[in-house]
Amino acid sequence: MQVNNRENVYASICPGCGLACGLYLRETVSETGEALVSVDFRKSAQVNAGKLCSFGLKLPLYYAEPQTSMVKGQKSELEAAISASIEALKTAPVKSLAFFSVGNATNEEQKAFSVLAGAFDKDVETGMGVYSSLPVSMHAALNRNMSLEEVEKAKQVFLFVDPYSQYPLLLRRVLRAKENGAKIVCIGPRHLPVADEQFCLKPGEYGKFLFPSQDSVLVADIHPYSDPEHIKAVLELAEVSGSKTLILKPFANSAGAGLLTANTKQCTLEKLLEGIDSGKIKTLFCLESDFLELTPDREAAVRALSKLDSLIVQTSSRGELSRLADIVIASEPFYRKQGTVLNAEGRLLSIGGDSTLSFDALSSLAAAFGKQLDFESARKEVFEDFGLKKAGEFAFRAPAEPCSGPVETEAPCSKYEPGQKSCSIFLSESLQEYSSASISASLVYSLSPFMWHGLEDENDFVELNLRMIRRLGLVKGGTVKIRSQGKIVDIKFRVSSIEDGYLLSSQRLPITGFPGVEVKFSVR
Amino acid sequence: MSELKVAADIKVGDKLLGWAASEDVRSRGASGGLVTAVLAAALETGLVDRVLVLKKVSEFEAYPVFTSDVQEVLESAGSMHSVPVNLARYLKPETCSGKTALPAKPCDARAVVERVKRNVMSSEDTYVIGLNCGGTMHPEKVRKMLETIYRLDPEEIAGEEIVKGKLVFFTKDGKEHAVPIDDLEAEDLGRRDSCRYCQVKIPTNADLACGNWGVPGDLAEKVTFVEVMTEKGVELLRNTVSAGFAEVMQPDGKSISAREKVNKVMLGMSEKRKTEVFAPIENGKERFEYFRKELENCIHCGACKAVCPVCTCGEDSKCTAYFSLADSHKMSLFHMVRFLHLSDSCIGCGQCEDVCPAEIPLTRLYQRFAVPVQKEYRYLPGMSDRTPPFFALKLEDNEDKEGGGCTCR
Repeated sequence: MQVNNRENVYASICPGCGLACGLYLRETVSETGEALVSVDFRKSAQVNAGKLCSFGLKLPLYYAEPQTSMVKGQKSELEAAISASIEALKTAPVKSLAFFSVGNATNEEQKAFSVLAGAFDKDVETGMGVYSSLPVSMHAALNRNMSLEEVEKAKQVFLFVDPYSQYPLLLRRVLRAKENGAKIVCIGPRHLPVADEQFCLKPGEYGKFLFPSQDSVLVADIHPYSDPEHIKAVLELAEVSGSKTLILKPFANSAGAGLLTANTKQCTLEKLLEGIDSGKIKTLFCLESDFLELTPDREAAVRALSKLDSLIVQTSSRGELSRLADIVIASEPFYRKQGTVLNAEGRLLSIGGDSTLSFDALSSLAAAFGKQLDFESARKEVFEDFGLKKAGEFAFRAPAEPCSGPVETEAPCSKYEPGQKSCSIFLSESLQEYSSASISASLVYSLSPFMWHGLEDENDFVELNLRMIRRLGLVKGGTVKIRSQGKIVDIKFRVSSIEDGYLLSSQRLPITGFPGVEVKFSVR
Repeated sequence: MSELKVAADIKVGDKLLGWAASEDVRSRGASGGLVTAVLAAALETGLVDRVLVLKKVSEFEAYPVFTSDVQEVLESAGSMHSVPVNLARYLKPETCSGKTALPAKPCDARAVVERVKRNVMSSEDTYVIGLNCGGTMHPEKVRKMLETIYRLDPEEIAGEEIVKGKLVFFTKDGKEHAVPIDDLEAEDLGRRDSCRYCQVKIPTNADLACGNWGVPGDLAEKVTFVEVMTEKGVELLRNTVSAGFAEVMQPDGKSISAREKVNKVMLGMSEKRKTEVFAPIENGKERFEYFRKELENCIHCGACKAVCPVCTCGEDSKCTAYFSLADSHKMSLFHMVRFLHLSDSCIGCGQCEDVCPAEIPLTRLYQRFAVPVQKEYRYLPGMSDRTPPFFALKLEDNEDKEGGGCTCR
């Protein structure tokens, strides 16, 4: 029997997080044109040497449902969706327009999107409101990065992220650093096996308990929920100690989007949602960015989005946002795109495809408003913007611009008042305020690629430490009831080695607004 | 030099020297291009429908493809020690329609045998052209050794070869750069860990067992030594010779003994390494702690299972069925079940270790668990069609065994 399926192999990258791991995607196209995608290991990839996390291995699910263009809930041709978008943008009051792209698009698409937004004198929002909450002088430090290989050579690594769940392909670099004799200091509520020292600290305490040196690397991340105080404290610590920073980002091209929107004022997701809810934003254009998956309170987001006059979504994946959209401009799957992303190391990577469908759609839209941009020009501009000369996988790094001036800090970390209690002490005291059947804790999300991309994982549980479980009298196999802001969720739990007074979750819980809230527990 | 052998005279047990008839194939392929010629002839004459080969992207990058295009086979020619892929994993029911041929290192060939036992594919329809193998290298380590030991730019590499215990890189300027593999391994570079203790160097379990070991010095790089192991091997080689794709001749006794000697030396080195790596941990608590500690960084991505060429369970597997991320066991049931499940099938190919994002020495762990079991039942997986002991075992078979309990030290 002869097999007639056509197989296309793409040497591509994973869209799961800002590390942008290399992989092969095998697309088997049947005689009927149906494409089945499978993932294969690309051991020559410099970022990850072929290693993948569970998100990478589950990419076939991410690519399972290709998008189709829609206008007002009806399937349409791509051209019709573009025309409808032009009409929607033309009729909308300019003041009420917003353009949103978090970094799931290529640099070239991001460039075209900026050109389109620029036609209305608007900037593209990336959801990284943290930039606007920090002094401008710190922005360069957020975009200045280092290679993962350099982490291995550090004498001390200070981890403000959890590499096991958030950026799994960072883990091997940290383990190698440890093997090379580095001390690994972990900051966060989860006790990590790799840690030589573990702290659970407030940003104001970093200077008091952490002592990095010039040979140290501080690894932190910025994302749409980032606490500006935390980022500021990390950067100050780096500034004072002379240590290097590796600032990770949650989307494959977060770094590229960040650089391409540098020097523009950025809203937080919360502010953006408020703008929509209040009617200030009436037309929202989302490029490869699922607003619903990003906002923690999905119900509130759905309510707010229903107030829009027009929701235009340009995306390659189906999701609830597409169903809510007035217009869907279907783009090709990520692996088929021609173009580049800038990963969190500052390495420019080619996605590996040959399609410019999505770019062309944006280009047509921009042209309708008097702005011309072809793919080659966009590509050239991207290289110029990043200070790079040629395309390729291994050679490039982000420009390492020094801070333009003194950091506009409040007090340096070392000047924090002594005697401040760490979170764990504070929370263990607060625990005593409650009866054994009802205690409070801080909810901390483990922001994994699954959460950012709305892909289902098997993490349908929350994590507590044994002491809290005993206090609550929870039994194995049971559930725990969590309350916050008048909402309740009943969910499975797992015993984990984490700080007292914390509740960890790898999935969004339908009880909270933006993270950092206090929740209460009780036995079912 | 002896006379050329005619196709009809080729039989099982033959040990021959062969080379591609075409100058082009000889120049593209390693050691005279015999393997490439066999694959191309099999396709051209319709002996097989497709060939599974590595499509070359660069010296350090290639990916497996099924092809019916002879040109694509020719382009895949040449040794690729820096692309450690196990091809057997790609032989699946959905890809195995029709007859398929593939080049196979010993671990590929062993995995093919294990997959046949598990009814994933048919032995009759698969032609395995074995390649003797002293080991492969992970491209990440190759880059590192080029930069730190050879002081060469990886982008300048035009080819590589292992010659007399040295790893030789050829640069685009036509120069050769050789370093003894022992020196590389002293720096934790060189071959993959699992290759260093691998117990099969010549794939006598394949239909043909080819390679450069045993090739006389004056013919080095010009011919391939080939052992005809099965009737399918006879079919393959006769087909190649009669189609005019290759020529073969009888080697002298010196070549045959030289091949055996190289194999013996390589196996001896592996055995020594194996003894070092798998020093028994007699104390049960210490043994448990060793496994627990090695696995503590596991992120449960499942890559080890996905890449494993002898795991044929698919989605519905015991290791995942009895495992939940919500569990808080000291050692996850995923690993426990896999240790047991692979104890009579792990071929030590090292793929799991290659792709583990936490760099857990998984092959060592699986082998530490499996080797005592395999030794006890005198069973080396992937070397014959013998039923795996756990499937064949009757209670009385174990009566003469000493003591009880776990032997996995």
